[in-house]
Amino acid sequence: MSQNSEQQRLLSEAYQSAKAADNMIVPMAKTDVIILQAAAQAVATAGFKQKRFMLPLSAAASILIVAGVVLKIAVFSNDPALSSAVTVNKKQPMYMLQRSKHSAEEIMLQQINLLLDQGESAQARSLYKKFLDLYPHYDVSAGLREKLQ
Amino acid sequence: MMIPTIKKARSGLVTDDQIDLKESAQDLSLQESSDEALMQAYAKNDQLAFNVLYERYRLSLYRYMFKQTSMPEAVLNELYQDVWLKLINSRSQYQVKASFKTFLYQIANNTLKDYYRRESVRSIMSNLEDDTQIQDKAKLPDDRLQENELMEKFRQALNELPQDQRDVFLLREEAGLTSVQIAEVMQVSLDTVKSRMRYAVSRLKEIID
Repeated sequence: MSQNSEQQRLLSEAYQSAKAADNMIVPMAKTDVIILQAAAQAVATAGFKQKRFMLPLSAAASILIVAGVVLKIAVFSNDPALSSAVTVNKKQPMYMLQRSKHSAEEIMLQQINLLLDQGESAQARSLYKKFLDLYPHYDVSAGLREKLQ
Repeated sequence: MMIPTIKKARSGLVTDDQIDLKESAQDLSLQESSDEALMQAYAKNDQLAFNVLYERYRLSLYRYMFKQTSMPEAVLNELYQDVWLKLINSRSQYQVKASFKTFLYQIANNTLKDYYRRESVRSIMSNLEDDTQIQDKAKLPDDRLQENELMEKFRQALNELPQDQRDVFLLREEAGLTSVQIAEVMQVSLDTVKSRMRYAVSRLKEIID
C-alpha cells in the first residue's frame, strides 16, 4: 500500500515537472473572447428580462387599481343609505360622506329623526342638545333644525 | 492572457480615476473570494466575478481537456467553449452543495463523454473511410509538445490507458481534484477512484520506464 502511494507521489512529481512544457497549451484568443462575451451577454439579457418583466406587472397593477376605484365608486353610488347621507350633507368633503355610513353622528341624527316621527319632541330636542355639545361643527340640515325649534 | 475588464480595473489604481478605483477595490475583493462565492455573485449578474473565475480555471481546464484525447485544436476549442457556455447557462441553478471545481469538471467530463459518443457513432457511420484524417488529428497535439520528451512520453502513455483510468489521473494531476471530488465528478465510489488511480499509476510507470 505504502509502495503504491510512494510510486504515485514520484509519478506525480515527474508529471508536474513535465508540465512546464504545457506553457504553449492555451485556448485560442477567439475562444476567450466568445466565452467572455457570452458571459457578459447573459448578464445583460438577465437585466433586460427583469425590466421587461416589470413593465407588464406595473401595467397590470395600474389597471387593477383603476378597476378597484371604479368599482368602489359604482357600489357607493348605488347604496341607498349612502345616497341619503349625500343628500343630507352635500357640503361635507368626500371622506366624511364615506365615513358617515357608520358614524356616531349619523346614528344620533337618525335617532333624533325617529323620535320626531314618533312625536317625542322633548326627547328629540334633549338628544339634539347633546348632539350639538358633542359635534358643534356638524352641518345639520335646515329641515331638521326647523323641526326641532 | 489577461481578461480585459480586470486589466481595466487594475489600471484604475495607476490612473487614480475615482470610478476605476472603485472597480479595482471590487476586483481585489473578488480576487480573494472563494470560487463558490464568485459563482454565486455571477448568478446575481456580477460580470467581474465571472471574469475572475474564468481567469482561475482557464488554463487548467483547457489543459485537462487537451490531454484527454487527440483532437484538432478547433474541435478542442469548441468543446472547451461548450463547457463554459453550459456553465453560464446553468449559473442560476448553481448551489453551493458541491465545490465549484467539481461542478465545472463535471460539466467538462460530461461534454467530453458526449463528444466521444458522437465520435464513435460518426466513425462507425463513415466506416473508417478517413483513416488519414484521424492520423492527422493525432499528430496535431504532438507537434506542440516536441520540446519536452517527458511530457511526450506521458502523453503517449496516457493515450494507452483506458478512458476511466486516464480521467482519474488527469483530474488529479491537471485539475488538482481530491479523490473525493473525483468520485463526485465521475459519479463512482471512492474505492473505485482509488483502484483506478492505482492501475493508472502502475501502468504509466511501466510505459514510462
